[in-house]
Amino acid sequence: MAKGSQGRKDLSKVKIGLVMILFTVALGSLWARAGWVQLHEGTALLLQASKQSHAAEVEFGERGRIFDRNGQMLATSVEAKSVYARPFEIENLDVACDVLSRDLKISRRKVYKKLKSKKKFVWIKRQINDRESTAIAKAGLKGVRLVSEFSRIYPNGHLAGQTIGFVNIDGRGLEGIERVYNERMKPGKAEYVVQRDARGSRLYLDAQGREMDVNGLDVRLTIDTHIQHAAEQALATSIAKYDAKAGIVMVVDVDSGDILAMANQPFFNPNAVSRSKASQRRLRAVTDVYEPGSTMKPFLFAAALEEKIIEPDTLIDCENGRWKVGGKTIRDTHPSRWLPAHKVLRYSSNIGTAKIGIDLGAGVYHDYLTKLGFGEKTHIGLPGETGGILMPPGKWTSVDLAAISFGQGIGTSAIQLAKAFLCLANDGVTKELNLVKLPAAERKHAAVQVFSRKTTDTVLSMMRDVVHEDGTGRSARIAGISMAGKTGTAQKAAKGGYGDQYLSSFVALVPAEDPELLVITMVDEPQKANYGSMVAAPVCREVTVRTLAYHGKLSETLDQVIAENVTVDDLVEQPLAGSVATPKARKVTQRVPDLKKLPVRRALELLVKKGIVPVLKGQGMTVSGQKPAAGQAWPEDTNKEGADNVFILWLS
Amino acid sequence: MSQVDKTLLWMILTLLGAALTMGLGAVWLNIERMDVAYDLRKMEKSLGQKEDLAVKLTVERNNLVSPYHLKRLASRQGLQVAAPGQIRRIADTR
Repeated sequence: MAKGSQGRKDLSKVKIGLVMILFTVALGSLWARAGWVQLHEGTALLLQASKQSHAAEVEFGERGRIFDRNGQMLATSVEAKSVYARPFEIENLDVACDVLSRDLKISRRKVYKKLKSKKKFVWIKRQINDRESTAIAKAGLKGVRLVSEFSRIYPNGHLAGQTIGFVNIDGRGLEGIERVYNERMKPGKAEYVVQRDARGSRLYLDAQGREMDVNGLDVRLTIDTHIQHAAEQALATSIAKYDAKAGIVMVVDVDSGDILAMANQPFFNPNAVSRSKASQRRLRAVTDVYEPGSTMKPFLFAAALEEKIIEPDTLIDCENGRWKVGGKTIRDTHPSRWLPAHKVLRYSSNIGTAKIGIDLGAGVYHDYLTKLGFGEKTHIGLPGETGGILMPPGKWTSVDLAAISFGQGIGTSAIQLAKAFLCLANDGVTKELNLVKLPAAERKHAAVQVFSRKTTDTVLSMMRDVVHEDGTGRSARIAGISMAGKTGTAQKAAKGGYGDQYLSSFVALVPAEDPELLVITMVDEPQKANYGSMVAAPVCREVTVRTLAYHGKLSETLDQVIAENVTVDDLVEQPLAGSVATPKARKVTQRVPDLKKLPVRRALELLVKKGIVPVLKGQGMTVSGQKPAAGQAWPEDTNKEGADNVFILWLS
Repeated sequence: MSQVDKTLLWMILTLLGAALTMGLGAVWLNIERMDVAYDLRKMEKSLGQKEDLAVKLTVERNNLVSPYHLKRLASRQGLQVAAPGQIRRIADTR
């Protein structure tokens, strides 16, 4: 080896050196490049990479919900898809028009016009239903996309529709509670960063930006859906019966001042705003001014008693039903000559009341009316509230004073009237009405003692006679319940004086001695009859009965003595008149019974008695098949709770 | 090779091994993170859909128990609101 290699130069070291140099240069260049990229261009490249792999995402919350006092949902938002198009991206206009008009049920001409638009973005249809959105997603039209929005749903339809109000298509409250609490219920939005993969799919990156609650806050009303429903039903029945133009029913809880129901007829369904008229959307109890008529009389009596102008037994000359004051003749429906003051209220004598008013004087009476809240808004917090009409006392003529005494020549809203009667029911101390439980309202008014307790007790006792003696409110009487009430039949002002249309009203306070419930009914322009005792009092009675029954406060449930000492089974054997026959419970038989055609609930009741939880197959409410079949022995091992198909029911 | 050199060699080898392990660990973690991110996204979507469905079902439930609907159903069965005289108070016989 040494021989063979003699004379040749050993270049191996050089070669190794060269290779090392080559590698050093190559690695060095790589290091240098890496250093350059990392250190010099690093920030810029990081930014570029971040743009490729990250994307901003926006999440919109849902609008706050509206609940009644018991948590029953009155308004909520449901996610719905909306379809929009980018007309310049559309490839086949004819196909797109056909698909969109067919799936969204809009005219082809309309779609064509939208897709031919030069705009970059056009709405095709907003807030479509699930079926339509699935069809559009399936069609996969280029340039046509779906986006999520929230649409407002009112599950109870027209129940308290005017009070709740409505929102526009962009979710902004336009009327009622929706408008007043728009800022509170308005949803927020969260912006956060997500990661994007090579195909553009978005991935979860981190929790940053998601911590905030984007949903709007809820609102809870004092309304009770059951009482509201009772009020609306009773009002609708009366309006249909007497062919009236409109009506209002208000139910107020005296202890708390909470409005339990505020029904307005004609009804308004906020789910179908576009099909409604402005007259339906108006919350008449708050926005409309009426001359209340005789329902104002209790306030005059309270003022006169407080000022010691009258005592309940003071005799008043009622002029046999006709009396001229300031050139105008006042008439009574029940003519009498001498009546004690309490009977003036009981028979609703206009002449007697006018005389008390004149004795009291305009200034004093005006003061009382102002203290009761007439002539100014109640600040209940709803839009469009009226302050009513109450002239300054300096402008009252003797005719005005006489008329205002019996409720003509003064304009009030139903809510003002409710507030004033709430004062009478609350021992003469003013109290604010509440419509919203959450958020708690901030009110600037302080409680004022307008009448003494003795005065309010006397007035309530006189109003009790209106219902329980031979007064005008007999038709509102409820057996076993003491009610203080007052009817009202006010002539409505027309061009140049009073016309032939009336406002029939009735106010009820239950129980009369220490009222817990206040019910006000107003029926506007009834045609077939116009007396408050005929038109409005039965509505008040119906609403009061249903409210008391709902609260378990009808006489039967209040009186412990009349409790029947029998079992429920015995009660079934002795049904009351008009009660519906109780469905007879099926007895468990020795063998499997025929369950076909039975409602699934009844079949389940029967099987559960045997300790069997069946497997349900199919959809529906009626049993169409069973295993084991009828007549077979009961399955022995029933402890497996259907997991092993011990008993199967097919539904249809 | 001196004892010091040996120790140095072992330290270098250990450090290289640790770097390699950590590098591989980082890659594995990244893959896992991506998997979790995909899963989270899927779950977020599914949660969103379920929440939407829950809201729709709540609306439906409220619709079904609304007083108007209940009244319709009750009147079909011949039931109505109890009037005075139709309510019985049962004594507690337990």
